[in-house]
Amino acid sequence: MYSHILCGTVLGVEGVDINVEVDVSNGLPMFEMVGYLGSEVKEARERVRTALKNSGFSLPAKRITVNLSPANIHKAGTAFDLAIALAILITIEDIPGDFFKDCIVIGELGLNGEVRPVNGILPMLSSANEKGITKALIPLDNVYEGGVVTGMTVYGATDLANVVRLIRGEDSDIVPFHQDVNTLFNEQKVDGPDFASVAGQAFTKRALEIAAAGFHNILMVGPPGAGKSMLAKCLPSILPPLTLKESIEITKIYSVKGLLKEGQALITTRPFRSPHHTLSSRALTGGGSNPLPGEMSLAHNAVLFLDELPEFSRESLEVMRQPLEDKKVTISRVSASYTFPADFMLVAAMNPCPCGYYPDRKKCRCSDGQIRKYLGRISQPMLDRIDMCVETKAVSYRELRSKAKEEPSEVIRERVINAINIQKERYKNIGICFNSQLEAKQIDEYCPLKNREEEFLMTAVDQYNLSARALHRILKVSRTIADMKEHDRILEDDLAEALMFHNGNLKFWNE
Amino acid sequence: MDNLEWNYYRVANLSFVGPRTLIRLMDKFETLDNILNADEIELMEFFNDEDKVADFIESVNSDNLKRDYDRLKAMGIRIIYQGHPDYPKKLECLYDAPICLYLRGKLPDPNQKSVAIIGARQASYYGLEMAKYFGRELAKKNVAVISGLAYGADAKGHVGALEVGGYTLGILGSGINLCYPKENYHIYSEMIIKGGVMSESGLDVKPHAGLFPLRNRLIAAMSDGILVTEAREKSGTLITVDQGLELGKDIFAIPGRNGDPLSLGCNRLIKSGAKLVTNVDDILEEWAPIDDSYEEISIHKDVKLSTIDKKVYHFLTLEPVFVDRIIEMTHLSVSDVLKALMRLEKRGLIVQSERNYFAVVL
Repeated sequence: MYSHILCGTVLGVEGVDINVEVDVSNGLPMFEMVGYLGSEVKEARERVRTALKNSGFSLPAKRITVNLSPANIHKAGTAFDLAIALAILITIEDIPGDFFKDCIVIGELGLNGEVRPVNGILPMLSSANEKGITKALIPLDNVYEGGVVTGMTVYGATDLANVVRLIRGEDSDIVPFHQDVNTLFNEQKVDGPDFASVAGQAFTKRALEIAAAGFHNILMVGPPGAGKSMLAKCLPSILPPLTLKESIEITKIYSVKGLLKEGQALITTRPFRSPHHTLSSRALTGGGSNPLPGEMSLAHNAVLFLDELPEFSRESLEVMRQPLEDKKVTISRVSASYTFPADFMLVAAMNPCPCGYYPDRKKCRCSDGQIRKYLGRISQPMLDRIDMCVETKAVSYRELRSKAKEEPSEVIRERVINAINIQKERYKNIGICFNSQLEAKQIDEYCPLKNREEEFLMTAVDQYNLSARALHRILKVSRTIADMKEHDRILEDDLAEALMFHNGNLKFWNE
Repeated sequence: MDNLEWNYYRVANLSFVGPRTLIRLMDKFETLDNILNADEIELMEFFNDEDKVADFIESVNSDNLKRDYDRLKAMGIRIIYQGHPDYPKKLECLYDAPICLYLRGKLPDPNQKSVAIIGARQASYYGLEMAKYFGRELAKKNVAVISGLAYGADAKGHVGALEVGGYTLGILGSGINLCYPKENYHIYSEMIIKGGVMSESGLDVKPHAGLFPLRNRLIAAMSDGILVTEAREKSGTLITVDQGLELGKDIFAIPGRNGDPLSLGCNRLIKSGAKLVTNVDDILEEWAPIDDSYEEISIHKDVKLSTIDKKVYHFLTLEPVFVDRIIEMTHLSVSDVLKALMRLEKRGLIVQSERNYFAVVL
């Protein structure tokens, strides 16, 4: 006797359908599992057998063969248990099989028959849904996440006995789970600190606003206690709200990594990831034998904040170079190559010297050699990927105690959204969204200059010895500034402002 | 081969023999030849230590000595030994006058007045500009500028003098062929051609802490006056000043703001009798009457500027200001300010001392 049930697994952040096939035939009593299985998958045999027994089913003294197909994909995780158990029950005709038409079954089994949550529900369900699957039987703890997939009837399974009652059409407390994704999504609110709570720092705030408006990577340089970290934390509050598509992309990554909170259906605010500088390069890219997303992917569509940039290991910094260009992380393994999205905005902060107070020589006693060495930890290719650089200074007492009302994030956010809309409209035909994504040849087309501006830029390039790369960065940033002011073309003032924030001569510090 | 020079060179490179031991050795052995050919028993009488004698004999016969001597010659490095006609008279008054000096370039003209410009290595922009200004202005008045080719004030003093083609002498705390710090190599190489670089240590001697006080005594001895641009309360610079005072040199100090940690040392020097200087004439009048009238230093040059440039220029001082403060205080637009800054920088009136920090140039 043969039957099969659809299950799924995750490769990278994409769900892949796995067919669980069961054959029960005469022969020596045994329970065999095949299909390129990881050890935790092989152990499903014991879990399934015991869970069936403890839920009141006995296995026939026959030869049971389970195959997970396609058999050339390496399978890991515990999501197959429930499907295996149910497929066996269908095969031995304890339950009818028609429930499982167009249905995906996912869940781990406990020895008592309990169905336990697994990671990666959202990517599995949404890829199944794209292939016309309309029904899902998943662990109860995962239903909020599963319910995000529209057009899918989701059942939350509590334990095996209950599931069997549902399938037999008997009285069961499992009912289809419904939630309205749009309501859920619209309930999102901006949390995290607000720019209004930071006193002074107008120069840095302005820089962050520009960075947000063009999705430019930015580096903040300043003494300890200047508020660099605080300002960075405020950044998500001025980024535009997530679209549903972006939100689902992020949720998929968090689902695979198992970082969704209990009962959390969607990630509706832009994450703010600030890994500590001791993290390994693997933690940044993602990895493992069955690769999981790393910090760069967890900051997808959002902010990756690296505090104390020079303290990060050289390897960690260099590994970010490719993803900063490609907006994705590719991890190659013998079995397959995995791709994780990693389109993040890099916000970095650092001190100008080991003690942090340079160029204030009253406080700083670092030698030129020390400073050079400290700055040298960040390679030029890395700096080339950061469009903007801003000096952050310590706040004065006057600013701290000032009664002046600081602009709330909400107001800044309006301006940012406005600038982003202008960019989206302009780039709708070339498949990019932001000025920061402009490539060298597109810059000529989208950042034209008139004589006056051309002359200004020429003087600047001459005087500050700017490289072609630095020039491109200045043009991109000035395009963003022009968009913020709703200028059709880049004006001299826009260029001048971009020039203040360019990072062409970070090394200029200690000449 | 100049035998006297070769002998002095060998003596200077013996283990356990410095200027003071040499005087005692000469008392006993009378000639350099005798010292270098002394046998074990004679040396034992002198050193009274078997290990020292063994090291001494080993270093007398070392093959490296000849090899390094040939290298010195090949590099065109001069050896000025005690009694050499060019040996600086000013050093003769030292009780521990160097046995040999290694020299690239020239020594200062013995009739020329010389001033040592010294100050903090981790100097403020103000201190650096002052060092450069005085280096330049002193060189213009045909005063030799002496310093130690270190970071900060030292380097700027040399640079100032080189700018106007004046003579400047660098005295190293490392081997003559090593430039420490490396960052000053461009100054070192220019000074070899246009001025002089001198050291008491021979080839390949790595700089180490013990060598710098010895170097400082040469700086103090070689100069007629010592000008301190910036010094903290406990600064190494003050050691040079002490040595200068012992040798009877004139001490000059540039005042700083009261309470500024980088000027505490200078202000204290002034309080205890160093001469406060605000321009080069203050220094020169110590040695010769000044005929032309005093012209005080002005941080803003009298040049023709457009209204905007003038506004920006006169807002800037020797204290570097951050660009957003310039914009805020001058009430000008971002582009006006940046354009003015670029124009002023091009004319050499101001400089971007750090990224986005601007200050005037003296």
